[in-house]
Amino acid sequence: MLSKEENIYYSRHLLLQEIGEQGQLRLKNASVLVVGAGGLGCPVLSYLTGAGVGHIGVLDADLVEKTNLHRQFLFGTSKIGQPKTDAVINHLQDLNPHIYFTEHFLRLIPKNAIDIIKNYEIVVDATDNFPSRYLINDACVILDKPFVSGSIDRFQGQISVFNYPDSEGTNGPTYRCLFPLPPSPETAPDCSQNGVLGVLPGIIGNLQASEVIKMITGTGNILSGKVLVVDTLRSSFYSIAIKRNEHAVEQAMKLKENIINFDYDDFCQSTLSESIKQISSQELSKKLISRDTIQLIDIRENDCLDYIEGSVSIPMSRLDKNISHIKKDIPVVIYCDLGINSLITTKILTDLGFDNVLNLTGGIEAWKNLNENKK
Amino acid sequence: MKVKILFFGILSEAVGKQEMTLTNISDSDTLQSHLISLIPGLKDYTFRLAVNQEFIESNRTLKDGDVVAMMPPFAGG
Repeated sequence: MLSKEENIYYSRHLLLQEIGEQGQLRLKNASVLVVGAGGLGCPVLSYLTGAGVGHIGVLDADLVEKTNLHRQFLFGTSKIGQPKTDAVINHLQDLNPHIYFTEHFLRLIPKNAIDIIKNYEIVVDATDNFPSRYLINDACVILDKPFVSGSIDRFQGQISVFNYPDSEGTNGPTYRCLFPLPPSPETAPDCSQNGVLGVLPGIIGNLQASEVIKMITGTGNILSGKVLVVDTLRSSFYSIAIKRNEHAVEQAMKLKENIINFDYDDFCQSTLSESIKQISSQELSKKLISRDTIQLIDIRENDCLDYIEGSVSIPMSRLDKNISHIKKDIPVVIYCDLGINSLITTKILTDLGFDNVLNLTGGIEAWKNLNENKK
Repeated sequence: MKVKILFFGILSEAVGKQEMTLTNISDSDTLQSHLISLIPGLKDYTFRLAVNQEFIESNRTLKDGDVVAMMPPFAGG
């Protein structure tokens, strides 16, 4: 039941047929963790508080800085040097006294992620770095929770709802399905290096809050299975469909027992160009012609007719069981359809101490192109 | 045949423009290697290719009027 005070507070929501008293009660009984109380976090937290999400977790390890204020509006100059979580909750509790806040003045790390996230139904990724993005993804996949991802770059933002179950209970794509591996740090600067239009996180954060409210109240269509890209310079909203990639999901699931030992900072630091070696179809062709000793491994799942002569099939899903069949002292070339899953496999083997593993760039498709051009 | 390419995020800085049109590019693999030959620095970037608003998992034949988007991950928040 809503109290008399709550009925007045939420009266404009209650007028909406799509929300009404039932939707408002769902909001009241819901719990949402917002990771990051910065550019994206401020609008997300404001509107979830206003909407009446009963329990809101505010997680951030940062102190308020002067450079935050042009876009992070839940604290002012008088709060500089104070924990953001404290300043934010102070402000929001005044905005809506019906909300219960939990303060997490810490950084989300593998050691605490599962214990914190398990207490919430929905997670909002409002972070500003890749180690946190992959950690949130993996913890939510392991705990079977949906999360609303937002990210920004100068004038553009991306938003999507990941790991969201459809009406039949099948979960949608995850962040790793969109980007299986992190970019090298020098090619993906953050706001402190590259700048950001102050209003941009306001737009993206509000869209994130809107998705959360729809998920809780069961209203409208959820932004699952696609990423929405907002461009403030072009004044455009561009949506791109994403498919779930079970191999990418598996990378998160296999950390179920040992996420504590996974070093996300290291995972995101080791740049692709440094840690993963690639081979082109032309170079592979030369090696095969000159009969170089290599282990050529096809990691596609199904028996495919269009394999490369001399390759052995080790489906990616059975890689763990077959690792002993791969020799460390002979160069390895991994291939798949397009070079995405093979890139993940190359990274796995490289991390396991295979120092001569090469990914076939562009996969079997690039190989076929080369050989068709020769004809 | 003409194909339009949209560059998002930092890729528009790397390429120096937000979009370009290329002619006679038969498929997405050819497009990617053509762009890398034009702008060698592109090979260091992480991105996904989308054709007509759908991320592709394997090489895709391109036809006249197709729109290809090159989408990198964004860091900021």
